[in-house]
Amino acid sequence: MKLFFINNDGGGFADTIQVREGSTIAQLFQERMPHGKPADYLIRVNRQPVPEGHILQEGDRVSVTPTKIEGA
Amino acid sequence: MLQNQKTLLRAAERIRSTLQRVRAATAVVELPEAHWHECESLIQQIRWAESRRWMHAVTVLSDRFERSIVRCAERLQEVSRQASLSKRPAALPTVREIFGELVALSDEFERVGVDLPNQTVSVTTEPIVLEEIGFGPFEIRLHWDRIGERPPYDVVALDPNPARESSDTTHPHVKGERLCEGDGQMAIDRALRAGRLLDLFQIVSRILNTYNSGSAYVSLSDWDGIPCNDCGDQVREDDVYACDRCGDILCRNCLISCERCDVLCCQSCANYCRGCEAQACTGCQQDCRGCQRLFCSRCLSEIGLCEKCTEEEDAESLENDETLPDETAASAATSAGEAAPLPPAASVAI
Repeated sequence: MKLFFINNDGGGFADTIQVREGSTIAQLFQERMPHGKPADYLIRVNRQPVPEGHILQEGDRVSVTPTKIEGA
Repeated sequence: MLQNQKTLLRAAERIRSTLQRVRAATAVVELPEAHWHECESLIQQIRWAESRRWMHAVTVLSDRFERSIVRCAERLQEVSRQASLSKRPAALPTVREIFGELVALSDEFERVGVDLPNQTVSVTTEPIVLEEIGFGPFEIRLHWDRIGERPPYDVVALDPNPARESSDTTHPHVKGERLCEGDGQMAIDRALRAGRLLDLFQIVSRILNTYNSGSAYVSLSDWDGIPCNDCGDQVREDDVYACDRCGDILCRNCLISCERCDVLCCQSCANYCRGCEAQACTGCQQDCRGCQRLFCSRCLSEIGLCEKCTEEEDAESLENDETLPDETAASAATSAGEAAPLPPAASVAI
């Protein structure tokens, strides 16, 4: 299934990605951010916070924003 | 439909119109020529100062050069970012999507405001605390008519605790209501152009919650400090000294004790005596009446002359004294009817 993934870490790229049916948000996070800890990010599905076991649906909008972003 | 929702819908429509306009506008690439010329000019000034060994001027100009080159590099990065963004334009969001963003803001932030006449959407953060220093809550105010400009939003301290040395620095990364976005810059640009308002406000809020000691306007360790007028170092309030002569704030290391009257003063108010080389304050120094050089009170005579000028004046007086007896003798001889000795030929008036 397809969903819209926004990574606000670094460049802030947004892309449509393909994920397996029944994937949870925790699995998606591990797949897309292999070196990150979920606690260090604000993770939203369709602009809402969700539990880690939340099962993603076709067309979901997932955004990942680091809790710490260094200004200059 | 609730009145509030009507307002949000109108705001969403207007934001979309702005995004459409920004997208249609041809991107004008402006290279940072002015910044570049400023750097060139500063390099020339530094070389000039170096050739004259004006080391203080070299230091001041080098600092200015460093800031100018950073500004120039930042501007170039911005041009590069604009070029990159124009290659991959984000899809124009629908009114419904922008409406969804506005609604979601209330879930993330305690206070959200939409001001249609002033064309702003604003959120209020929780009180910001960094390393035990409180900065109070901030209002992040997006002016949607300014989308496409840099920056289209203001960051306003609602209960400000500004840095001691700079009243418009309300946060280590906020000066004059402008956030220095640092690592968040590109993500903010992309969020704005795609109409992802929730992401924009979240990113700005996260930057406000993060401290980067490497490039803060004022570091947290210096937040409550006072800058020393001589070396520029921050001084804690209980370790501050003032120059006894001009009142400037100083750190302990920059205090100079006058060797004549023992007052404590700054570098500007102390000078080396040209005679004994003692450091003396402005109250204990004076220009020699003869050579106009600075001396301490001990190295000047009662009539305000330095040793050398005193010697020169003594020698001159002695010379005058030696020529005086001949003139007196000549005058006495004339009065007695004797022929007075002739003055040297060179002195004869014709």
